[in-house]
Amino acid sequence: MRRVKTGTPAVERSSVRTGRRLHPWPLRIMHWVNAVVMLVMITSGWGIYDDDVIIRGFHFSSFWRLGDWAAWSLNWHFAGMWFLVINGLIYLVYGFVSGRFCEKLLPIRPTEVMQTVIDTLHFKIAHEDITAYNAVQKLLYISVILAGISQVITGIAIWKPIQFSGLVSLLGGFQTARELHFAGMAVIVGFLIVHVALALLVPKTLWAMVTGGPRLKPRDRPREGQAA
Amino acid sequence: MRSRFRPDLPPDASVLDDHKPLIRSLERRSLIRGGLSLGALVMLTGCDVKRPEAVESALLAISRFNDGVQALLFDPNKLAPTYPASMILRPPKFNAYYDVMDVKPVNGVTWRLEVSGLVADKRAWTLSDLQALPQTSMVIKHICVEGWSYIGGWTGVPLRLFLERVGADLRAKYVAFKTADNYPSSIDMASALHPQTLLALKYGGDTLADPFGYPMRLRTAVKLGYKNPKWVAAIEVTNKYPGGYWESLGFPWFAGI
Repeated sequence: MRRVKTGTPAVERSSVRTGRRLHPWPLRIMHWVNAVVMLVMITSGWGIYDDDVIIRGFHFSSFWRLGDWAAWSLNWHFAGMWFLVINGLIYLVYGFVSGRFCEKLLPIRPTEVMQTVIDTLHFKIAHEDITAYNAVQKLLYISVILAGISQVITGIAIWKPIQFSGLVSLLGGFQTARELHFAGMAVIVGFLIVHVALALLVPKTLWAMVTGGPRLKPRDRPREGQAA
Repeated sequence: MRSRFRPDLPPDASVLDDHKPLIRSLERRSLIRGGLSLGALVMLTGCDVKRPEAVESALLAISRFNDGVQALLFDPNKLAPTYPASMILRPPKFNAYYDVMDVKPVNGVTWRLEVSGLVADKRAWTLSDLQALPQTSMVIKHICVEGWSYIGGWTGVPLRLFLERVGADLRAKYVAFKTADNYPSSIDMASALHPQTLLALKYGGDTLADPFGYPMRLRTAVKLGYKNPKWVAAIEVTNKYPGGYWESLGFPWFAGI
């Protein structure tokens, strides 16, 4: 490749070629690892759940359960947990250190949330620009991240209720911890349904999570940008 | 290295041209085959397909790794929460790999507890021998791997005290149990020496009822329910992994809580 030292077009071209992607590669890897692991955790969790249901009469049919019976659902769950926790920890560190969380998920203004809800009810869903999240998206992403963290905490409580008996009593007892773990799953599954449905409705978002999406302009310190 | 199955000379291009439709159909077929294996992968999560051997052995390897992690997490000085006697469930919940109607009562008079393995004194014990040892009581939660739990009150001989009495090698790895209902089980030595691990003789102040392990059962506060064999007939101290009934079917061995 020939290097061009001067000249405006060359500089522009190189900045386009090297500008960071909407979804940098580490994030994409973490996203898809998490997608697989979450499905493993959810479906194996349903297999474990079914031996002693929390909601009377509410079962998951064997089609949806990972593991042909409880022992293997447990083994899947206790294998998947390592991938979930390690991948999740790297994601959290990455999100904070790279500034992605601050950039993408903050700030959330109540008026914007209201406006987005009203617009959505009128079927005005803006998705031309997939590089910026609306207020409802921000809320949903923050909620599901918190639900994921909560699943790990309640999961540790019901995995080791004696070694972490302080945590169990903080959560309101063993049975309550189980119910919270179940509720956390429900939140994540609810998010998953909306998330996947929207990704399929706007396929370029799905494609962006595979290829990285559009290249962004060099970061112009968001705070200053907003003040201007 | 060159494949022995690859021809030395590439086929003439005209051959490919002559068989274009065939080649296209072959490619289509491989696509369908790819689709089928993707379908199988999807079905794996639905689990109508039996677990493949490679997946099974990978899961078991992680389960063994988890046994090690659980042993590290186990704090021998950490006591399980205890509850007032008024909270004891009477009768306790019955659970076994068979129905309560199929319980075969054990005769406490002729019953003997065999002791073997890395112990100094291999003399068999009678029920009155055990009753003559110092007794401890605890009101603790029983947590089943299935998720249900209940509070029970147990009285018996601390396993640590028993192991000391028979001169067991307390540095051995495992304490294994054999039972009258053919339900082998085993626990790690650290859990065996925990103060809330008893050779239980009583429930709620009364002699154990038949379905709950009369004359003697293991009751430990630091393990899941399935690590508490009933109708114990023999105890062995060993360094050789003894396994257990559910463990041989895939459940985790350590099962600490």
